[in-house]
Amino acid sequence: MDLGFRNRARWLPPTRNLVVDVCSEYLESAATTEQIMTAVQELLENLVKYSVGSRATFSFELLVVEGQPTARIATRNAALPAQLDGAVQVLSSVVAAADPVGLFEEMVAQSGERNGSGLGLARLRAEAGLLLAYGVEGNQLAILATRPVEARSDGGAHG
Amino acid sequence: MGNASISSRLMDVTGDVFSTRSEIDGDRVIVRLKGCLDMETAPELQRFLGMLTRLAQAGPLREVEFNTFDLYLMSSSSISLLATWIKGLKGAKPVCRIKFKVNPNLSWQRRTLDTVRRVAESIVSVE
Repeated sequence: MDLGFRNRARWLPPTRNLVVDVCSEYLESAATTEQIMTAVQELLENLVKYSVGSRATFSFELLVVEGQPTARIATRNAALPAQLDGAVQVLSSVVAAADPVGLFEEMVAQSGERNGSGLGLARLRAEAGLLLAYGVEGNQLAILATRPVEARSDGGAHG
Repeated sequence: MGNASISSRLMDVTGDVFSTRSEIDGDRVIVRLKGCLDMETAPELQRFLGMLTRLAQAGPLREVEFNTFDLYLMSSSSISLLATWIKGLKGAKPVCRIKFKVNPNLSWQRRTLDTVRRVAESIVSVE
């Protein structure tokens, strides 16, 4: 999806529900679908809140990587410099964290102490079990989140 | 203070996406959370928690039980609101205890609310 998500929160539920429907169709575990739903919600909310310009990209794929069924979520958006810096700071902490659950707990405990806390990004690793990678090009932030999944025994992920 | 005193200061959220249903039992309130807590409905949660804070400060409230059986989703904005609210109650006298009754079929609930519990383990429980 390549849309202007900024300030369009109404687009989140149908996008999230589509991903949940796809996961329910192809994945074995309802718990994994829940985790992916959580991650999708967090990433979409970030696009609505922080993207600037008329386009932001969200993509979701179920595919097989070297024989392993995998879920892959990617976003790309332009952001204001302060918000870009803040996101990069949080992402670098989350990606480097030896204990992502501990980091998330620490950030929850600090709730209310600052705006734009990055809690949603920390949650991607701590609660949704996603591996994160990110990149910055000019004012564009790209986030890639992946995790292995188990395909349904009567179907399976299609690349 | 009696039930009328509490109920007169507690207005439920009645939205289509997120709603609450409160029942008062003496100095205890049971709140059923239903729907989705996302960035759009988080302000409604904030308003509701503000009412609970005022009740707790006024004295008649000793326990709040949140039943999350029908809560489908909670995004980080609401996690942050809940954690901030609980931090505000941590040192309150008299003590107001917070209990979350989770849906075992929605595994995110225990995981997420257990993290929230750690903000104030002495007053928060997850069942």
